[in-house]
Amino acid sequence: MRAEPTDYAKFTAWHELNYKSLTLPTDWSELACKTIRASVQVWQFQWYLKCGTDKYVRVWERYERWPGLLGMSRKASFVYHYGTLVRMGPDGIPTYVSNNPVDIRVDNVGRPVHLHFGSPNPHHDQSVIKGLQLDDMDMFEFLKGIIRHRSTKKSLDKIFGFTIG
Amino acid sequence: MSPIREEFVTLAEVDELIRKFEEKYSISTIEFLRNAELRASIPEDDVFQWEAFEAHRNELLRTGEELRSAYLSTVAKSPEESYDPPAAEKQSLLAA
Repeated sequence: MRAEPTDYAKFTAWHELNYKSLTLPTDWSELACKTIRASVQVWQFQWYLKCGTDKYVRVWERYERWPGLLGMSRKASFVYHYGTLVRMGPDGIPTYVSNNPVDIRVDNVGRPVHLHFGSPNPHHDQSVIKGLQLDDMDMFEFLKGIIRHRSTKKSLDKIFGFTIG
Repeated sequence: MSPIREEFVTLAEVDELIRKFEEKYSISTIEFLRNAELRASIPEDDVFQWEAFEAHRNELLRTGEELRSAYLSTVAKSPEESYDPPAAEKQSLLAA
């Protein structure tokens, strides 16, 4: 993943800027958008958006101190997930389950950045993906892709411009 | 206006969340972090959260220690602690 130095103020300003230019479709609703902070340099970001009646987007990012760069942080791990909403928790946030249905998911949890497409398994590493640089993707590119997919009915691989294999 | 809402976690809250993961998978956090094979058998979302809470825990411990050190450096020493006895008195104290 191409991590760039950031800090909490920069991160929230970047989010706000992109959020302002984002137009969510009328059948989308934001269920939660929050940071859980341990300090100014360590935090996680969680964003949940419901799409229509049965799908949702989940964005998770975790930031940690950048060793050797005083006051700077870096994105250590992330999950961009779009799939069927299986269950809502009592807090109004989708609860994830093992083998959560996946339409598309990009993450770097447990291994280098990889793609899940159409199902939780297999994990497609960057080496087998053509046309899409996974570690270049940010949460807003992911969201905009999902919005285009739902509005145009084009398949997700066409929208994001990748082939596997 | 960004919709981001901020939450802060305490060490006790993070400890409790980590404890739940340790119970769920019957392993310690140390084992979880050290054993890549074992970690690969755990759903990615749980791995993400577990790692995140452990990072939060470390950060809270670190900032707590920094705060403690900073506080202690400002505390004035008591007269007994800051008393520097004359050389002759030091010698007799050492001899005793």
